[in-house]
Amino acid sequence: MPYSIPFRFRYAYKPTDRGVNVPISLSAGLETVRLFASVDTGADYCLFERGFAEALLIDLEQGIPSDFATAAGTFRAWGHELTLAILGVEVHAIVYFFENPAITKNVLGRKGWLNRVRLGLVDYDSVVYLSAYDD
Amino acid sequence: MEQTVNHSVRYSLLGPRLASVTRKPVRRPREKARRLQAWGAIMPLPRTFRKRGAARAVVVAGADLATSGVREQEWVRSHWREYAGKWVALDNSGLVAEAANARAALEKAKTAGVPFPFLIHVTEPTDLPFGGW
Repeated sequence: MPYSIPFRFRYAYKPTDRGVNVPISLSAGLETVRLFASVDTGADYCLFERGFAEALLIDLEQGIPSDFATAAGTFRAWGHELTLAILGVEVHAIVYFFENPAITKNVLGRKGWLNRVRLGLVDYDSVVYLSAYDD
Repeated sequence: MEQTVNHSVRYSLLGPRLASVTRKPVRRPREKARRLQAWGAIMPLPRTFRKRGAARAVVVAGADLATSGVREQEWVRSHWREYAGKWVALDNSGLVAEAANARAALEKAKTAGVPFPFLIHVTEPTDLPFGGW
């Protein structure tokens, strides 16, 4: 039996890119930055470069400290509540910023983003589909 | 005297040929492939698929900031050597500002009249595939 799921937005990402990169914006207070982030179903949280916290005038070490495990070790990040807008879908969530400024990854993970939306991914066609969870 | 030549090909269902057949991806019909959007396009789907009453926790925003970023990504691919290690602020027309840190790049962009540029920390691309976390 086929299943049908409606989506509001469709975005065609570049197939040669590393990962599924989508344009997003982060907002805290009156500050907003735009960047590119990778959809990462293997990440528990959304994680961004430290520089974006500085651009948003966020005092990083005033946030929630958390250590994260990876296949190759651990790292520390700091959580802050802010607003993410991805392809027109906006969520308010706690996201984390890497303490180490040398880490240049930006990922959209499960808690705070994937668990708030409906996501469709057809990598064969390089297309993502997105809606708010109960839109 | 006329000779008859029989052409025949024998296929074995064992070994690498079978493996290559089973792994071959199924190709989509050409009609469907042509309908797909070029990369970078953000397409709202038809209203008939939408329902009213979005959740409070998740609000559908306006499309003002939901731009594709295609030109900005192309710019980085073309200019990463010149700006590796720096933060750059980009908009559709290209480079707006550069600085050693993100906040300074954003401030310069605002001064230049671009309040919401794409901020990118330019790094040297690697040929190695990313292994995940």
